[in-house]
Amino acid sequence: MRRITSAVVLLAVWACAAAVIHSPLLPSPLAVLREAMSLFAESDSYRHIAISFFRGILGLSLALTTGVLLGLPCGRHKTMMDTIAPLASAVQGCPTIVWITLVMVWAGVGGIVPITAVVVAAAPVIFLNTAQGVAALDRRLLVMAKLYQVPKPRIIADILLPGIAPYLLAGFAFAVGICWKVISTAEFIGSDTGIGTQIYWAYRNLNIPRLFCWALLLIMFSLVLDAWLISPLSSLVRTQRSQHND
Amino acid sequence: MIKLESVTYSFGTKTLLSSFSFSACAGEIVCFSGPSGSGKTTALEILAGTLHPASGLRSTTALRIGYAFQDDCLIPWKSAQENLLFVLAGRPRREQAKETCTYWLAQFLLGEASAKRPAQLSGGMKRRLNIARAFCIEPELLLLDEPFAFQDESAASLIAGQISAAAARGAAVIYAAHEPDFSLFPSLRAVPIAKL
Repeated sequence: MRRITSAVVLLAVWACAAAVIHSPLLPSPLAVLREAMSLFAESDSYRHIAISFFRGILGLSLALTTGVLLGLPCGRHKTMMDTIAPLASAVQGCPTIVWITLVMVWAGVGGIVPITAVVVAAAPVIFLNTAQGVAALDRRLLVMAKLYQVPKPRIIADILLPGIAPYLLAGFAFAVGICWKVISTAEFIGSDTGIGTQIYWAYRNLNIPRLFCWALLLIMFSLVLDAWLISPLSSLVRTQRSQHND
Repeated sequence: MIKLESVTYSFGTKTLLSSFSFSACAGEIVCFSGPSGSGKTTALEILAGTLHPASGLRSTTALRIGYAFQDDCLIPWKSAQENLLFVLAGRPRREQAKETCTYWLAQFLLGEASAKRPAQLSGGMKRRLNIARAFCIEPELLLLDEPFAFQDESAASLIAGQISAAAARGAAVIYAAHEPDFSLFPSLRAVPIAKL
């Protein structure tokens, strides 16, 4: 209910501002809706949406794999952590635009630019969170599991993953949050397909209603992923935590 | 069954065990006694193989070692039954694992708490769950750290009964306590561990 109220208020403020300013640079919600209908009538739009979505999922998957695979051993071995953590911090601290430029120089424009941009933006956060989760894990549980000769897959499934889940989820939620911003920026600069490219052409043609359509679509991507993926996972972890903290 | 030869263990600058030798046979009940900080838990951890001594030798013929940890070491997000099932995961006769868990939970008066998580159990129940976990793997060597802590008289005699039964089945039982209680186990061998 609160979300609907918030959306209605935002829409009202936007409509009022568009009516007062009355400029093609700030289209009304109705003009954007009309443009959206024409945009979704074009089959090419779906191709760009699918491409961006695929790049986002692939980039997130690669970031998740890299971050978790590096974070698991680093959380257990301090020397390894001390070696890799500064590199992860450096990668995280480097502006995404620098990575986009470098990948364009090294590999040219195309799909590799947005995918690499997502990986370098998200993997360090997932890595640091995973390592933090492993480091915070009660080592005695691992000692107990080893003493009772519990198979490794069970140790991973029953101790390691539930133990690091809150940390991993926080990192993943951050990655999903930034994913579409990074993808669209990288596509705007270094690709000839995807939503970011369409934003570029809307800007070049000064088609502001269309620019608004793409922006709203990106916001919806984030909201849908948050509502259907991050929120259910968060409440699952919260339930688990509250049950063992009763 | 198990043997320690001239074992020395230090933590920082503090020596907890110095040239400690010990052996136990199948069916024997041994009590490591001594004041807090004397090294009873350290000796049990070395016997369990979870701690490695700075020098000396540990040898054992036991394939299954059940260890009731001093800090209970229960998985917080799993129920009492799941905590027992976890240690049975890699063992044969997995189809009987649930029945085994139910049996041992009942033996330690935890039948009604099988669905509860450790945080929902009292200190005494947690300790009994920790002990039940050590028993459920049918250990050849049973190591129990302060098994009677947080227990009332009836629960303590129940645990003592289970310890005697395990020894009668052929397990070597070694437990740590401040004082050995010969009234619980007439054939008890006490091994005093002095504070260094």
